[in-house]
Amino acid sequence: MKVEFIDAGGVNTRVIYEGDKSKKAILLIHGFGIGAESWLLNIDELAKDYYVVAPDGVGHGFTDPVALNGGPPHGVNLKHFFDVADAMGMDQFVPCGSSYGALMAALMWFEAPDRVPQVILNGTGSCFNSEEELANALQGTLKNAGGAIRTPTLESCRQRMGNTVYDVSMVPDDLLLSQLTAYAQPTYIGWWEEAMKGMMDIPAIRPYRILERLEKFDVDTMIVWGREDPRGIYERAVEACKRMPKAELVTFEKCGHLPYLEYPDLFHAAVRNFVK
Amino acid sequence: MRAKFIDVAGTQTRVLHEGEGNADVLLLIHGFGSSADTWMHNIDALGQDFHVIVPDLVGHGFTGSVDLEDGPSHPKAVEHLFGVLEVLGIDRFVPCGSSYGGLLGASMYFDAPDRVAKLIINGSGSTFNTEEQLATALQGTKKNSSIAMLDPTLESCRIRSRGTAYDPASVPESFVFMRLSIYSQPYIVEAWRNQLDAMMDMDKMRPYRIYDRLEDIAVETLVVWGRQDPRGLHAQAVAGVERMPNARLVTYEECGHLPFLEKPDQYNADIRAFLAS
Repeated sequence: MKVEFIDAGGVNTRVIYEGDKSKKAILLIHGFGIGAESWLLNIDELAKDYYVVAPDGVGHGFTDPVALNGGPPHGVNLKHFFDVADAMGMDQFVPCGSSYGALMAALMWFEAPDRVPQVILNGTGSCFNSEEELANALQGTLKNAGGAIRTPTLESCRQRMGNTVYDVSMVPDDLLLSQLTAYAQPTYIGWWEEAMKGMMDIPAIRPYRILERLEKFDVDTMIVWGREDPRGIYERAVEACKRMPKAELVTFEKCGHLPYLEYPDLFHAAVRNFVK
Repeated sequence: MRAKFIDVAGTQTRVLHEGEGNADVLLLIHGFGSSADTWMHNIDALGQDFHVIVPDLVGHGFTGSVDLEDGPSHPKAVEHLFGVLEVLGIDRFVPCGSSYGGLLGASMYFDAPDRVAKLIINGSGSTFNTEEQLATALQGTKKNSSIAMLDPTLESCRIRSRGTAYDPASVPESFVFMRLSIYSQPYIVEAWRNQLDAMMDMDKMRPYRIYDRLEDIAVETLVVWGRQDPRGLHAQAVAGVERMPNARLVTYEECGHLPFLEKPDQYNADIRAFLAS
């Protein structure tokens, strides 16, 4: 596992990466309000078979924020992830996103289908919730993550991550220490609050919704979901999968919102089985 | 454990901290090439009894670097530490430094003896080595750190972090991961190289040496040392403490260069006892 600070379209960006560039590339896209270290247990292991790149999104982790001008962060994020892919020499890649990051992964296919041969979506209300459910889920995020980000302590970071997984003991300390420092950065909370406000503006995010166009999502897709996911409703994943032409659903039992972190071995086997 | 970024005379500075503002202040000072994270097993535990302040030194961790103006880093680092205290409104404090940080803590005592209530020095060749021994130790530092600094991977950072501990397993993976992100910041590598080069220039270093003034450290001092410390020789600590009027040496068995990280329970108890006495 290596870390590099790169210039991605003018944005100073932290990228965690590993693997041989000649192999198939996987772009790991973290969820909203957490950073690339959420893939800590996956990067080295997947890099045995793939070129794995896990950036911090704009305003997240140790990547600089970008002005949102009152709008939702989706467009800015999407451009940034393409800029990262370009800077890291990834022509074709499999975007693998978690939660809000899964919405980014799906949108990358809509935007550049030729570059995206397959897609992996992990526990994502952003993709499959109705507008009403999404508004509710975002209220939960605002409450749960907001507390940890506004007054970060190692313990509040642990509790916040713990609230989204099935078993809090599955959250490794490794990512909490890094999270604590990331949240304390002077620009962090302001950008996060502005971005949250933009995300909760439903008419403004409507162009970035995919629930209403799942039938057009004509790409080989693996959906990974924890049965007990408290953020993304499991039934929505089942329904969505049926509407997508080329999707399969992999369900993890006794698992919450972060299947790749909660059951890394199962996750790696599923990815290896899917990306060949 | 909490984190914040403060502006210290124009230098953005990361501070880990815990504890109340009216408790006795413990200033934990990390070693050369390290970061505040090295105190991760001490901050919450000691924060129950003390106001624990743990900054990243200039050019370290997530703190910006400063122009060394062709001198060694010591005076700049000490000035920055006093700046941290000023921003936080702290007068009296107990400096507790590791390795190079031990030297900085002792330097703070010489600069402001009235403000230093007690002093704690941990495994610090910078403080107790002769010039010749120090030169050798710095070569070791350069060799051990270089690979991790110039080609940071989780594995090279793990090797570097474990290199000075007695039991490699005592070095937490979370610390290794933090180090990986820190060393990947281009300005950190540059600051490290500049500071190390300046440090190896003994003529410029000499005015900031403590070794020749140990007799003048009158404040009550606790020296904590791992018997197997590969950077600071235990025999030098024994000899150094004998020359100090008000110092006591505590030796940790089966322990290397970072007693506070390698034996946190024992360490936190010893610090509590020392500061309560």
